[in-house]
Amino acid sequence: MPEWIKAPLVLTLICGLVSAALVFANDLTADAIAAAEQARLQESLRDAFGEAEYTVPDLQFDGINQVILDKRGNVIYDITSTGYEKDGQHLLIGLDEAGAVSGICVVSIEDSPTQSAKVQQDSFLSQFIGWDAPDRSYNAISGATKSSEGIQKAVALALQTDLDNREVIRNAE
Amino acid sequence: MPNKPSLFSEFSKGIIRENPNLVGLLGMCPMLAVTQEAKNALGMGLATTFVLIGSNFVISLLRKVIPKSVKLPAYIVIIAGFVTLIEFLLHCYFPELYSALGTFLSLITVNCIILGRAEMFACKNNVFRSVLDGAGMGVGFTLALFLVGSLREILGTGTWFGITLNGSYSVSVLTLAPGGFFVLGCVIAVVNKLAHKPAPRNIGCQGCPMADTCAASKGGCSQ
Repeated sequence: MPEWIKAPLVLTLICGLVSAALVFANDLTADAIAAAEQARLQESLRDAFGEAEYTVPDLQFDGINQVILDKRGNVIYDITSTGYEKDGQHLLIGLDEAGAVSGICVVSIEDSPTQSAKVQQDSFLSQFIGWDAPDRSYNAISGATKSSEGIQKAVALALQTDLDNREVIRNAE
Repeated sequence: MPNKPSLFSEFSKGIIRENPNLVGLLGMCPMLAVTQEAKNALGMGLATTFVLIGSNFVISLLRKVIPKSVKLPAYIVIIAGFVTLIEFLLHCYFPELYSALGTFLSLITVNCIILGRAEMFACKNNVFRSVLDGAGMGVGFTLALFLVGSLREILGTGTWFGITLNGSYSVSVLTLAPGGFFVLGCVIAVVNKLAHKPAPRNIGCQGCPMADTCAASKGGCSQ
């Protein structure tokens, strides 16, 4: 067989076989990964916002994975943001009844371990507490600028979504 | 034709004598980035070992089928496949480790140890020897990461696998990047002192990536 046919054919076959193997592996692990993610989300909710009855109304907003309500009137926005890694930050941004940021929880972050540790420090996250408008200034962490930006964008998105849809969200079941 | 080294030698060479990290100075990125804690270092080492063994196995199996012109892309696809597989498994069964390793898990794909062993060894040797080579190199890589990670965690934070050993006398700079370089330098010095004999007088072409293109067959670069 001539080289100009054999080379792309072999490469295509290898790509096809590897893809098929990954489809099979994904089928085997997808449910377990989803369950583990859900368990981690529940644990993060309890850790960051306390024991409460959380409900997920059927609401869809751009850039928001889901909106979570608790019986105390808090609204928690589940957001995937981009820091160093595209879509590598999974965050919960909690807003109180008045629409101000009451808590931030990092569910998972796929940036480098050093960057991840830096932006999870209380000294960084606490500067967002009390924000009630998305256009405030903040101090990014040196050496983790992109990761800091990702968290700031998520906070701003949660606040903007809340400002634009406050009535709808607060009255949702 | 020279005798092939024994199977034990094939496995053991990667542990100290040709340790990819401490002697070959390859794979420095994960070595410095994930060794703040022994647990993460061990996890990264084992994940890389899995990819090394798997990719060496498949590449050796297909060595007579893959044409030279698409060798590199084929190797990358195979390696990336194993990396994605280990990502699925870690995400599923060890979510904490998966989060802790972050982007460095995906970056195993471009770890030069893996591509290096594929190019230098797996594509020229049979499956069994290639698997042994991958396992040996993986064990050497894991031990190096674990050693540096343990030293940095014990001396830097006074803990080991999260257990407090001596928190009051920690040297916290060792958990930062400069401390990583310092610990790595010390470990490299000790391992090279232990592992290295004097350099041979005549350096052969075996293992040289340029051997095919230079005048090796006429004795050009061998002396």
